[in-house]
Amino acid sequence: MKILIDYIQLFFQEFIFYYALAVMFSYVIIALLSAWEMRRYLHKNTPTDYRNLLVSEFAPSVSIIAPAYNEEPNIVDNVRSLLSLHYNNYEVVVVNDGSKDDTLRQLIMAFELVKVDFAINTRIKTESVRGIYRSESKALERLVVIDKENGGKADALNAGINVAKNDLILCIDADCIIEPDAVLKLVKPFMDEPVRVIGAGGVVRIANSCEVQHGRLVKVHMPDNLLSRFQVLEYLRGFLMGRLAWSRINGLLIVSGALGLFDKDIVIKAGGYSTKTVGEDMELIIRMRKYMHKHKLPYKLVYTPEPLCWTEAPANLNVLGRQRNRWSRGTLESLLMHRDILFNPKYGTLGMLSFPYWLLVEWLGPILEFIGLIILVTLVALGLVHWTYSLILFAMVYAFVLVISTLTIIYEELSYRQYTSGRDLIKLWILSFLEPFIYHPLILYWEIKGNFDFLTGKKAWGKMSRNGFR
Amino acid sequence: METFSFNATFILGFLDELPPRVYLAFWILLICLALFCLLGIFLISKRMISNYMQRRDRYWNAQIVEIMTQFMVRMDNADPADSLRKTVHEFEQLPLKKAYIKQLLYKQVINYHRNFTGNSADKLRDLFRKLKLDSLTEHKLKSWDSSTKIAGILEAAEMQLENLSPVIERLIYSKSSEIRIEAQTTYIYLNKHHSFHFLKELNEPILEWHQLILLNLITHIKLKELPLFSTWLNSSNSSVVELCLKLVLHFQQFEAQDKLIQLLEHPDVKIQSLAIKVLGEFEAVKAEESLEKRYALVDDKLKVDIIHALGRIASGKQLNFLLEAVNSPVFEIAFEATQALQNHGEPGISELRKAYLLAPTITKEMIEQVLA
Repeated sequence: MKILIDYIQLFFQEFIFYYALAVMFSYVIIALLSAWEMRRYLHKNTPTDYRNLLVSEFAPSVSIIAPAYNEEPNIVDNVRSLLSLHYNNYEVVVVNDGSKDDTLRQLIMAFELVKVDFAINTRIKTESVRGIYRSESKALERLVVIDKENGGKADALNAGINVAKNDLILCIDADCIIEPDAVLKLVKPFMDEPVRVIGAGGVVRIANSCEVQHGRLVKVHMPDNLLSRFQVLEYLRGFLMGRLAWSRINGLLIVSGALGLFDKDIVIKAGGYSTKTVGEDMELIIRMRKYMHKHKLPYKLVYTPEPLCWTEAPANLNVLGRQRNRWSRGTLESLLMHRDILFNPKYGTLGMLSFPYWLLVEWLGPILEFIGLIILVTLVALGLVHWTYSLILFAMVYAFVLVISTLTIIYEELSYRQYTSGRDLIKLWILSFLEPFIYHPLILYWEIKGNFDFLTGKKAWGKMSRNGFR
Repeated sequence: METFSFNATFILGFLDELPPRVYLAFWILLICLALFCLLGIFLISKRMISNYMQRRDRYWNAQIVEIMTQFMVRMDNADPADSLRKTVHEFEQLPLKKAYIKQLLYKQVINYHRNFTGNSADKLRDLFRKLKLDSLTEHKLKSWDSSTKIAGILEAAEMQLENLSPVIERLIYSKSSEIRIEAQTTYIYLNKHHSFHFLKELNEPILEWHQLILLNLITHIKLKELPLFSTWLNSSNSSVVELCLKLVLHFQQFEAQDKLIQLLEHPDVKIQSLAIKVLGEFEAVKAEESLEKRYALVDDKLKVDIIHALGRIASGKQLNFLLEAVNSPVFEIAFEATQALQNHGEPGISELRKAYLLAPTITKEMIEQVLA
């Protein structure tokens, strides 16, 4: 027993310590890269007059695909908001994914829809389509509604892709609030990069407690609910720091399912969304990137640091737990499905940096942390912990987390400054002190549970109930 | 002194006793704590300074706006020269030696100018020059910081500072694509005569976004003399050809048809596609044969473009060719051919009806959709 404990102690002293230092170092690099990218983005886009794109006959055409499942209460408002986005050359494809409620009837009544003859180019296999609807009103000719058998979000998006007639597809969650100029800002990178851009994502923000009118966000507030407030900090860190940095080195592995603009041609050639995983957004990106590498086509995936989409964050533990459980399973599924990429120089940054990072930091990190906690408890019980040393090590990690969170808040303050009230800023900062003790352990638990559920073969999405916007 | 030396000895002793890893962690902890404090101070002071500046600017902006409003009112009623003199005098009473107040005035005049046209805009430009605010624009154009330079270019365009045109011309070939595009558009805007000569010498690519900006500008300003954009269709810079094709289409320069037919064999697929599109939009009957010949040699995407163009031309000579394409196994080609036949009017529709009888289900669905 003594030898075993000695080995465990040695493992933690050597491996875990240097692993933690490596992770911290990677965060420092990420913070620097994101600052660089943010500066570049602001420099490039601040003088941009997006009206040029709005009035041009040469603006790329976009199909917005919004899958809807049991969205009866909000669907009409959401579609109205999509139809009034600031862009000219676009269509809205709403996919009713076999809703059990009155989603379709609401759409038919509100937009005077009629069933039409429509030849579908089935480039990606989906559940059967029951009908295509278009409006009788000339003013609504950009709206197409697909009614199909239920097949899940990925299947609904694929059905939308088959029907979409434009070159770029904007995949969104029907329950999100899209900023009116989101399409303009996402389309621009497709036109101002010297290489082919295959996808672009924007920052997703938390809309809880924000004021919403007719499907539009009119005033930003910090959420009242503590759990949602923690997610604000988490999303800021993830989007403003993480994704922006990966975008800088063309190493993005995920574009949020809530808002992503893609090159339709490449999406189709890569096979569309996979229905075999619950992390279909990440999996599609990996497959699109693999396709580009396989055919030796230069490409770029970009991220816009602007807040373009607002989503309602889970405000109770059960729903948040289900969401995080699904995210962990999705990540693991995607990583396993494409394990051939790992440290494969053929895939460049993807194989040598992004993929190993996701595996060794994003996936392995929580597992090691969990094991560490169990061992710590055991060592405490056996009276083998040197408290002074442990305290220094914990304090180091805690202080580092505070630095990263404060940096994130500074990035927000220096860029888009959505939380204009000083009180909100202070609230956000105070959260960074509490997060490691309250929110992080919860996330850790759900991530571990997600991994466990993956091993036991759980495939379900989990019910995602929402309270609706204010 | 004694206490200090005792504390120092204690701390050094404590550090000496730490194992190497904990020792390292201790130093990282200290660095993080120091960094955290600095970042915290920065965050709070940033917000406080920004709030202070907002309040300060609000005060001076209110004064500037008041004088500007009086100027706008006076302009309609009094003698313009007198009104201008009075306003300049009033502004000179403000402490314009303070750089931030001059900057606020500069921004306000530009902002007013953005919102007025005609006589009012002319008067605002006069005011801008009388207050010697154009020296700030010139200063910006000479700045080493590219963002400031871009702002200067945009402001020069807004205030139509033709005297700065030579400075801007030098920036047309800048290595920074952002500066280049703004300089090109402003240069065309300020020199409405012979302002396209740079297209001949341009080696850097004009990105699609930049083409769009140039197009919007060129198609919206009143040029003194519209050049024949087909002049640059032979350029070795593909992006220049692309831009000129779009301009040829917009200005309906039909005399470019022969050059367009030559471009069907251009090595860049994007240019081939655009040339096909322009020929279609021009309803160029004489290009039909060349388009049909190219059809067998190009990929599916260009095939769709060719069929689309033939549908636009709709001379009636290609009905059999299009009817063959309706039976293509490639959905996009078949669908485009169905639409192209429908564009031919009655002769095409009657061919479609005949084809419907023998067509497979998917083709039938296409014909139903198109004829619905």
